Amino acid sequence: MVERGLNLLWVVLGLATMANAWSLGLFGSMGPDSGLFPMICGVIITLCGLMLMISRSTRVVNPEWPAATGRRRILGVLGGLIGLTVTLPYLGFAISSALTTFVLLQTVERSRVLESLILTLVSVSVIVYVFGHLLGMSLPRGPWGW
Amino acid sequence: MEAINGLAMGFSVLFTPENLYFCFLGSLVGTLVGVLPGIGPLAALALLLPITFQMSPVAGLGMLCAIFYGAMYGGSTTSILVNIPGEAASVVTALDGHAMARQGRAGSALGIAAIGSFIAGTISLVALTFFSPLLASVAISFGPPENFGLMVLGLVSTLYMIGGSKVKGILMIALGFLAATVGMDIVNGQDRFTLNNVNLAGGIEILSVVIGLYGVAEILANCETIVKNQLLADKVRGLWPSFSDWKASWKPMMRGSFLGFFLGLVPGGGPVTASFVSYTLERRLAKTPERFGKGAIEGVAGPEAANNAAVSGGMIPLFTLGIPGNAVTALLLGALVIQGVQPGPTFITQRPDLFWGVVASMYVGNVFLLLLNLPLIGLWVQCLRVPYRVLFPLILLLAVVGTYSANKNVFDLWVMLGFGIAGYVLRKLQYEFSPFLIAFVLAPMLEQSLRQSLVMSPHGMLIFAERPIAACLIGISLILAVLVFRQRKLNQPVGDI
Repeated sequence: MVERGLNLLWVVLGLATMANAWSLGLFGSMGPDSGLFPMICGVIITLCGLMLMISRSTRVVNPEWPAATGRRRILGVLGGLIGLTVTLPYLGFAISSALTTFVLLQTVERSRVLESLILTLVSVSVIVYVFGHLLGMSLPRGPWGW
Repeated sequence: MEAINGLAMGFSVLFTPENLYFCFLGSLVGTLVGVLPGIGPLAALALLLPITFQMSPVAGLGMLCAIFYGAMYGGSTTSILVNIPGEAASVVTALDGHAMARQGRAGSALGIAAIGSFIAGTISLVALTFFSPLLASVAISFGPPENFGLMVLGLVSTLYMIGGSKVKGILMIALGFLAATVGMDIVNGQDRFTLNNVNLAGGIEILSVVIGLYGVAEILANCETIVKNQLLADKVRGLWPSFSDWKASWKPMMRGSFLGFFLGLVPGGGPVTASFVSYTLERRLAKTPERFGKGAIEGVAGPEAANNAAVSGGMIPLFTLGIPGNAVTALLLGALVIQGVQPGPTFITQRPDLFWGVVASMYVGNVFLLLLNLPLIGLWVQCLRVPYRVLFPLILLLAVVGTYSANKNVFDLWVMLGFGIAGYVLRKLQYEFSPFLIAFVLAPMLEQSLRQSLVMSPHGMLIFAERPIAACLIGISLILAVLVFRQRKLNQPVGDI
C-alpha cells in the first residue's frame, strides 16, 4: 500500500517537474536554458515511477514496518526533533535540547527520572562545551543569553 | 620520482602539531564510529564536517579521511565480538569473525583484521601515491564533453554495482539531480523549484541531506527495537596471530588488497562491495569452502583487507577526476568544495600541498590505527558496553548541531527532518541512497558540462560522438547500461556506505 502510494507520488512529481521545467524554458538564444536539465530529470522520474507501478519484480515482499512499540518510539523521536526545531530559535540550544533529551529519555527510552536527568545534563553539557566553547561555533541562544 | 618528491613535501606539510593532532583525532573518532553500532562513517563525517570549516584544509580533510578508514578498522571489532556490524563494510566479517570468537579465537580474528587492514591500507596507499599523478596527467586534456562522459560513466557504474532494483537506482539518481537543481541557476540567475521560499534560493544544503538520510533515518531505524549487545569476551587475549593463522591469511590479505583497491577505483565500488566480493572470491578459491561461515580466518583476512584498500582506491577518482565513486567520497567532494577547493585533473598541480599533505596523513593515520586497534582493543571492547539509550541523545543533538552550524538557519533542520523521514521509508522499501547522494553532488558539474558542450557544439548532441574520448566514455556507459538491465540480481547486500 505504502509502496503503491510512493510509486504514484513519483509519477506525479515527475510530471510536475516536467511542467515546471517547460515553464523555465528548455532552449534560449544562448543555447540550453534552465529547464533542460530538470526536464530530463522529470522524464526519468515519470518513466521510473510508471515502471515501478507496473513491474511486480521490483516490489518489496512484506516490508518490515515496526510493531506498535516501535512505531511509538519512532513517533516519539520525530516529535522530539520537531519540538527541538520549533523551540530552538526561542529558547536557545541549551534549554531546548535539554528539554527534548529529557522528554525523549522519559517517553521513548522509559529511563528512570534521575538517570534521565543525569544523561540529559551530561549530553547537553558535552555538546555545548565542545561545539560552543572549544570549537567556537555559535549555537542559538535563548532570551537569557545562553 | 615526481610522486616521491610530492610525498616528501606532503610529509613536510603534515608534520605540524595541529595536522598530526587532527589526524590522530580522526583515527580515534573513526575507530569509535566503526566500533559503535548505530552510527555509520558517512553520518559521522556529516556530523563532524562543520568542525573542519575552521581548520586548515590539510588538517580538516586529513581528519575526515581518517574517520573514513578508521571506521573500516573499528567495524570489525563489533562484528567479531557482538555479531552486529559497526558499519556496512564489516557485515561479511561477522560471518567468520564471530564464529571464531565463539570458538575462543576472538584475539586471532581481531589481530588478523587489524594487521590485514594495515597491510592493505599501506599497499593501496602506495598505489594511490604513484597512480594519481598519472591519471591526472591524462585527464588534464579533458574538456566539457569528456567530463560529461566521465560523469555519466561514473553514474552508470554506480548503477551496475548496487544491489536491488536498478529502476529504483535510476530513480534515485534522477531525484538526486532534481534536488540539486533547487535554487538559483548559476548561469542566468533564474530561480528553480524554490516554491518562492527564500531559504531555498541558495539550494538544498548537503549536510541536511546527508545527516537526514544517514543520521536521522539511522536513528529512527535503531529506535524500532531495543538491542542489547552481548559481548563474547570481556578481555581479549592472543591478538598476535599464530603461524598457521598467518599461513592461511597472507594470500587472502594480498588478494583482498588488490581487489579492494581496484573496486575502490570503480565508481559505485567502495568498501562494502569490496568486502563482499573478496569473501565470495576466498570461498571460491578455498579447498574446503564448507569451513566458511564456521570460523575460517580467510573469511576475515580477505574482506577486512579489501574494505580498507577500497578506501584509498576511492580517493583516486575523487582527487584526480573530481568524480566521487561512493557516498562517502561524494561527501568529501562536498567538503572540499565548501573549503573552496575543486578536485579534478588540475588539483595535484594547483594544490600540491593539500593533495600530498592528505596522502601523507593517510600513511600516518594508518600507523595510528594499528596502534589504536591492537594495544587499545580492551578500551574498544568496553565502549561496546555503552547502551544505545546513552548514545542516542548524543547522536540526535550532534545531528542538530551539525546541520544548524552550516548556515545558522533553522530551515535546514526542517530539511534534515524531511530527508530523515523520507530516508527511513525509502530504506524500508529497499531504495539505496548512494546513487542519490553521488548524483546530488555531481549534478552541478554535470549540468554545467552538458550546457557548455551544447554551447560549444554546432551540431547539438553530436559533439559527444565527434570527440573520441567523450565518444568512448559514452559508448562504455551505453554498454554498461545494457549490462545493468541484463544483469541478474547480484549477490550483494541492499545498503550502502
